[in-house]
Formats: sequence, C-alpha cells, structure tokens
Amino acid sequence: MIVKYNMLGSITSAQFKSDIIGLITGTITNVGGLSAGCDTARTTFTGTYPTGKYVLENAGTNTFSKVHSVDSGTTHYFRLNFGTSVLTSIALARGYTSGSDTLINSAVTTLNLVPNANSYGGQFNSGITIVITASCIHITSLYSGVSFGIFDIGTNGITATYTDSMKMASVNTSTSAFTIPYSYALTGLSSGYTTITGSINVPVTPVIVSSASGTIIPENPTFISSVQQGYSAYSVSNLFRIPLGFADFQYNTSGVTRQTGPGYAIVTE
Amino acid sequence: MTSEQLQEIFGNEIGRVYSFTDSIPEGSDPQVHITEAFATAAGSNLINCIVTHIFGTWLVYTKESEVTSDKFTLLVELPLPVPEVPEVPEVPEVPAESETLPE
Repeated sequence: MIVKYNMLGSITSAQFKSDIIGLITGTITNVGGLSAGCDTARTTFTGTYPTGKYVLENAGTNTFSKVHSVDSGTTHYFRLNFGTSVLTSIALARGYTSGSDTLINSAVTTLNLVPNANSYGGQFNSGITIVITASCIHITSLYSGVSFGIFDIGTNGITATYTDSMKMASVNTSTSAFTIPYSYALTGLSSGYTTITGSINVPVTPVIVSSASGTIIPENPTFISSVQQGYSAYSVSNLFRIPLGFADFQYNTSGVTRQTGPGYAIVTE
Repeated sequence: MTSEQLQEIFGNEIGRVYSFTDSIPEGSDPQVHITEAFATAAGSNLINCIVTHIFGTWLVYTKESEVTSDKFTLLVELPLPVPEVPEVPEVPEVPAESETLPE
C-alpha cells in the first residue's frame, strides 16, 4: 500500500500522530479515516494494507510488533518516538518485554519528520509518502528531507548459524546507510552479537534503456553486508536499485507500483 | 578485554560499554533481566541498548545517556582517542645532483 499523505496548514500535533499511527496499524485505509488536519483532496491510497503483520503493542509508547514477511516465526519490534509536531526517531529492536514496555536489543535512528502544508498544487505530492507492505515501511518527505525505511532482510552464511541475529534493518535510502541493531559479528577473539552498520551495495547501478516500444527502468536487487560478517550479504526485501537519473516518484511495472527515492525503488505491495 | 577489542566489536561511533556486575536470577532470560535493570538505572524504559555476552561477561552497549549504577561498570567510552602521531623532524632538502656528468 502506498499513501500520498498531504496535510493542511492547520494540522495539529495530535492529528499528525494519530494519522501516522492509524496508517501503520491499519485502522485507517482510506481518506475518510484521516484526521481533519489532512488535505483529503490531495491524499490518495493505492493498494492493500498488509493485514496481520503489524500490531500496536503499546499505544502509550507507540511500540509495534512486525512479523517477518517470509519467516512467520520471526517477530521484531519498532517504536515511533514523537515530539510536538515531529516524528523524532524510530527505534528498531530484536525483542520486546510488554510488562516493562522495554525494547530488547534496539538501535534508534533520528528522523525529524514534520507535517507540512501542501504548497505546490494538486499534481505534486509535497507531503509525506508512506509505503506499508508485509516487508517494509518506508517514509519519504521532501519537506523534512527524509527518505528512510525499515525492511525485512534474509539470512546469510553467518546468521544461519548465529540464529539470534535480526532479520530486519533500518535503511536510509538517501545516504544508503543501514543498521541492523543486533546481529553476530565475527571479529576474532571479540566475536559476538552487536550492532552492524554499513552501506548498501548492489551488483551494479543500472541505467535507463529503451526498446523499440518504449523506455525500460531496470531494477537491480540490493544487498547489505559488513566487514564484521566477512561481507556475507543479506538481500533486502522490496528494495531495488534504479537509475540515478530517474526523477519521477512513482511508476508501475507488471502492475505493481514503485515509490522511488534517490536511486532506489520501493515495491509498494 | 581491552578497550581496543571493545571498539572492534562495537565500532567507533559515540557510545558507552558497560559490564553487568550483578547476578542473574535463575530461570530468567539474561538479556531481558539486564535490559530491564539498565532501563531502571537509566530512569527510562525508552532507552535503547544492546546486551551481549562476550569474553564470559555480559556487556551493555548504548549510544544514549550515561548510566550510574552499582549494577553496571563503565568499561569504555567510544570512540577511543586517536593516538597522536609524533612529529617527524624536518629534514633539510638536499640539493639535487647535477644531471651533467663530469667529462
């Protein structure tokens, strides 16, 4: 599902927060469910909400659980930290204790996503674009300078053995930086579970090509790897590398919409 | 374990590594127990940290606020200072030899 969420200048902090939370929990699946601070005329929903993947575990701290899209036995957690009229950060965690409302093995990423009034007219989305699928949540805001997501990842040769390693990563699709909060690092005598960070790599960055009938936007898969795991690679679900010169923000291939960031496409279903 | 080894595992971003010095109740999950103890020491259940068992010791790594508690001992603040490279004394330039060979 992709939501092009545009806001009015009058939107309040509470409305902004309730809209974001409602979209992720799936209680809001059309413009009629959004707050009075939403510019409903310029807000669209495309696709279907991934039922059964996201659960709001604690409404006080905005803590969610997420079931892995392929490995249904794996559940990870994330927490949205709001300030006044700002989504300050997202913490991604391997585990969670509901009794004490404590994230277990977590790392936080700063976002500073703020609401903004639509300022460019109906044909452009100058608000916030949110992709919510069984594999990922991705948020784009030109106004806030945010292009960020949390994605399911697969296993690799290291984590297949050290199975407490997480199968989710946070990815900044503007800078290509990623963080896996908890995974096994092989660093000689000091080997152990730790936070893995690095930069996305791809086989090659594609370029736009044409056939006799039209233009084709090639997509290459993305991988993440780190020297701490001997560059053993993980695949990243729903995230593809596309030509850097591609400037549109949304396109279809085989009937499935993509949302684009700088050089990346996020499958929206 | 040395500070250098801790930096090797936790990286060179700003953060702190603590060791857990209290006992873990029998039957409890060490990671849950230590995380909750750390959150109590930090005064907030919103703190983000990881708990890991290395060199036979339970370690806590966090990028957030400093924690003072008799259950946790600060081992190192990361990143470690970069050692200063001793200045190399300037060597006076030697005049280039003449390319003209003596006859």
